[in-house]
Amino acid sequence: MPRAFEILVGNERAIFDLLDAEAPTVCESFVRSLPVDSFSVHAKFAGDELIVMVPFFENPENEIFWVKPGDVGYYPGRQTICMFYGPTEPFGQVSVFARCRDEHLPILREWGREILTVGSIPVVVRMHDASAPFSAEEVLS
Amino acid sequence: MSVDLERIVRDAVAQAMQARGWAGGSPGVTQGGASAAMSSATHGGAPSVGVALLEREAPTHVHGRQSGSDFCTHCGGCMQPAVYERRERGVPVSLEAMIERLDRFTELAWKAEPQDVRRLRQLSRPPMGRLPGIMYANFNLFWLGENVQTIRDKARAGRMPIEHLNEMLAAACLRSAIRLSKWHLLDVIVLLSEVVGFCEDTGCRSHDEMKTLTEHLLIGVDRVQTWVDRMIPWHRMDASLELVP
Repeated sequence: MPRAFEILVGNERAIFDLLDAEAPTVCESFVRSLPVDSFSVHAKFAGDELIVMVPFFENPENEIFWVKPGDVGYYPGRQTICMFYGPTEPFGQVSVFARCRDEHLPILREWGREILTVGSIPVVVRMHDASAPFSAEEVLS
Repeated sequence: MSVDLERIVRDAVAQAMQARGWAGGSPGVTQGGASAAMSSATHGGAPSVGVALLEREAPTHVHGRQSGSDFCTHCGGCMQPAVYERRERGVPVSLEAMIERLDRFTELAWKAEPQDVRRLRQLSRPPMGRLPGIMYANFNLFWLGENVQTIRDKARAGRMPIEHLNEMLAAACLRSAIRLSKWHLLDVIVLLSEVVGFCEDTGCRSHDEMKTLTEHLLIGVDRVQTWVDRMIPWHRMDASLELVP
């Protein structure tokens, strides 16, 4: 099983698998920075993208321009992670280091709609604990 | 070089007050005399002028200044910036000490909206109110980050002499601090003034040290920028945008 992290917004949770093989350095720096209390805002120029600032600095790795929905990139220019949840118009390369689990992509879309309606949302980013009873599906059902 | 950025900010505030008749007593005297008395009574710093109200009767004499706030919140008659003194602290004498200050700043700015940003929410200047100041502060901070990124890239490349990089970082921070003083981001400009002092007095001794310093600085100032950016209603602005023909 790949290592995974999760993002919590209220009672909702989205889980992301780390791409340790493709971006080992960024993954390691990211994991060391967790847990993080932060907030998420929406991209302004790049389409369906959520952004969260994280407190670490790492050099580019596994840089990709044409990202896909579900890709999670680290952007060293602003020390942010970028979560792509739908159609995007790439604005620059990001270091893709994780991927949202397919079943949780609708949650990201929901958060995106919320931010575009009311503004930023507080988030908690932490390593995923598979043994924890909480799951986003249970909350949403 | 010694630059008293807090003094620059205070002077700018005093000038603005003077221009709006908040200091010097003229509106207070002509409109009943309260405001001028208040300025000299408790807010401190304003010159003593002829007043129609005795100092002991001024509301601020009773209220005092509100610690950590720009304004007295007890009444509508004391709209004067509060001035509080910071404990003097010297320029960091080592990279470790400098980074410790940067990390402490980041720690405080990370968790909740910083005081600088709260003050920015209150900053309104004629004739267009709050929005221009917030937008300008946002992009002044953004470009501070971009400039520091450039210096980090140069440090990473390792070709430019380290003393030049120290000079560049000091110049970029000083320029930004003066610019940010327009928006009264006092905590940020104090931090930047410490970076200026460090770069000019001690300075990084290697490219690796410069890379480390810029990375810690970037996370601190970029965090403040995200708080400013966060409060701008980007999601609604385009819908109501009517560009001038």
